[in-house]
Amino acid sequence: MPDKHHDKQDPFDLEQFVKDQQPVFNQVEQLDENALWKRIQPHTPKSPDRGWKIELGNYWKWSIAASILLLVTIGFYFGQQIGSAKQIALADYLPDLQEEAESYQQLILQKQEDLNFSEINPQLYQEIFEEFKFLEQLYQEMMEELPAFSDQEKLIQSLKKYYERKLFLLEKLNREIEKNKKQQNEEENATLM
Amino acid sequence: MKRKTQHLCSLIFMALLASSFQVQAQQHVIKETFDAASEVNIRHRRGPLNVAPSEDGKIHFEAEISFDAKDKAEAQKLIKAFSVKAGKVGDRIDIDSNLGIKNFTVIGNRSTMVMGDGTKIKGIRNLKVYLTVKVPDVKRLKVDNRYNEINVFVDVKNQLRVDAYSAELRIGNISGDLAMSAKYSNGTVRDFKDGDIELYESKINFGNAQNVAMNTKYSQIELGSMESFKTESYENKFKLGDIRNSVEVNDKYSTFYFSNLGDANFSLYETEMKGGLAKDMKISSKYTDLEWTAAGAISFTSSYEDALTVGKARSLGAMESKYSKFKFSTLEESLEINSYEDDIWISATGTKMDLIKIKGKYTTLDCPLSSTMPFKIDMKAKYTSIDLTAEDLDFTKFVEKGDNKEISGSRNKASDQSLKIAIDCYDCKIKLKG
Repeated sequence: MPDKHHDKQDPFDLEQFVKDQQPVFNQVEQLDENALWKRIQPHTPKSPDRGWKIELGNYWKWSIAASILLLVTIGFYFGQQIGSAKQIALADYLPDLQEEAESYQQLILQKQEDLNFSEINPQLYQEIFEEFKFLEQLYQEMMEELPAFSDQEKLIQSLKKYYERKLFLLEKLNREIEKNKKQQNEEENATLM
Repeated sequence: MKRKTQHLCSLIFMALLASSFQVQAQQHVIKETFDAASEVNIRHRRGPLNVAPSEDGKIHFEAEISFDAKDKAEAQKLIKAFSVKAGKVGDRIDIDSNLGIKNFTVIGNRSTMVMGDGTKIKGIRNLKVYLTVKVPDVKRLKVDNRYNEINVFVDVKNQLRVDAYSAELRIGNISGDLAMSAKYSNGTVRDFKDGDIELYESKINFGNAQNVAMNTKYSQIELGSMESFKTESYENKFKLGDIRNSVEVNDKYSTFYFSNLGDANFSLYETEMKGGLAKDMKISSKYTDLEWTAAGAISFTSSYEDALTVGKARSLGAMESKYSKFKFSTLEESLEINSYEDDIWISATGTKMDLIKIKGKYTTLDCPLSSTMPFKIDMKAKYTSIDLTAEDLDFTKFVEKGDNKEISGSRNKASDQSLKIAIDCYDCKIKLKG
């Protein structure tokens, strides 16, 4: 079957044109690089007299060894970071609890914001901050167990208790801050009297 | 025709649906027997752990796996994977029933289990492993379980060690010691000898014991009578029976209900404490409420914003006290306090009362003395009121210069054995008359 498009008369045959002009297209003009550089150089900023120089001196072997050690240490550190960042997601195992956990998280964040949590000096409330730390350890432990024991109702209950306890602890921190303020005021008043 | 096809399709769909829910209950049992050993260690997961007495002097265990499976082949895979590691090491038997599941996801009607060796098992539901270990009386027994029951009804001569996490505990009487670590657990433990107990967010009722040391947080604890009791406590609720000898409590944010106790040493912060009779008490406290029916000598190394209420006590001493309230129905022998803005009420004093010594600022003392009671008084005070006048005293130096007061005197022919009142005060209110 003849191709209808080929039958059609084309006023400009592009294919033929390219074929005809091929020798012209292939021709590359030789560039006078020296002349070009002479024209550019006056407009370039002067290069500084002194640049960065790395002098290895006589201890170059030690320098290389130290660099390798540094790279290995950095690599190990980031490897660890990536490892710990690989979190077990609650949603993968307990999608029903995920929603509840999110609302707890919201409440916790809200409470932390109210307390200006990041501005609190942990040294002043050391015991409570240690409690937070311990609570996080427990949570990590539970999350590590989660893949194997996600079907255990008791684990779910313990996870809920973690969120409740964190909220209680924030409330306790709030009370302690208030008490501290009150005591400071009392002491100031006592010195004034 | 169209209707018939629709009907047929829905029948096929129903059949498929029904087949997808079809489950088969599966069970498999592993049993083994060992000769007697003096020590048994048991680690169990995914079901109740029962330890019961053995009748033939040998150690037996029976582990039963029970589950629902959609597919026979999958069920067989799990049964094949089920094993109990058990063996004798010297005079000790170790039993470990952990299935070694690496990953178990149950979402909706689907479940996938990945075992430690990578084997995938699908469609398993309601998985439980029941472990019963029968032991003769042993010297040492260690039980460890998570998310399930620990039931021990066998005597342990030396030590029972319990590791419980989210567990239900039922432990009978043992003649040996108890070492326990429990988190998120509930239950009962009957009588034991000495206890070393660590609790976190748990609720446990204990029987009677001899000497108990506890480290507890966020827990509810009931304990019977003891010889001695020592605790590091944080936000707990205690109900304790009689403690015949010493008590040592280092606490924050807890509630204690004591019966009667021997000598006590308390370090308390925002604690609530109620009790019956106590011998001598040494207390360092802040924001604490204390209520006792009767006590011996109560001695505060420091008190800050506390409230102490006592029916009858021998004496009250406070090396340093601030913003506290002390209330006594009867104070028998002495009161000695370095005080700052405290309130002290003593409804009656005993006949042996021999000292009232106050060094105070902004303090109130209300201590009505019987009109026949002889006493000697020495007072140096500023801006202080006292309800005694020169006429109330037999021999007196009664000087009032502006806001300063200086009183020296005695009443009812007081001798050297009589009550001595020494007051060094600034802006205090002293009431000694009824």
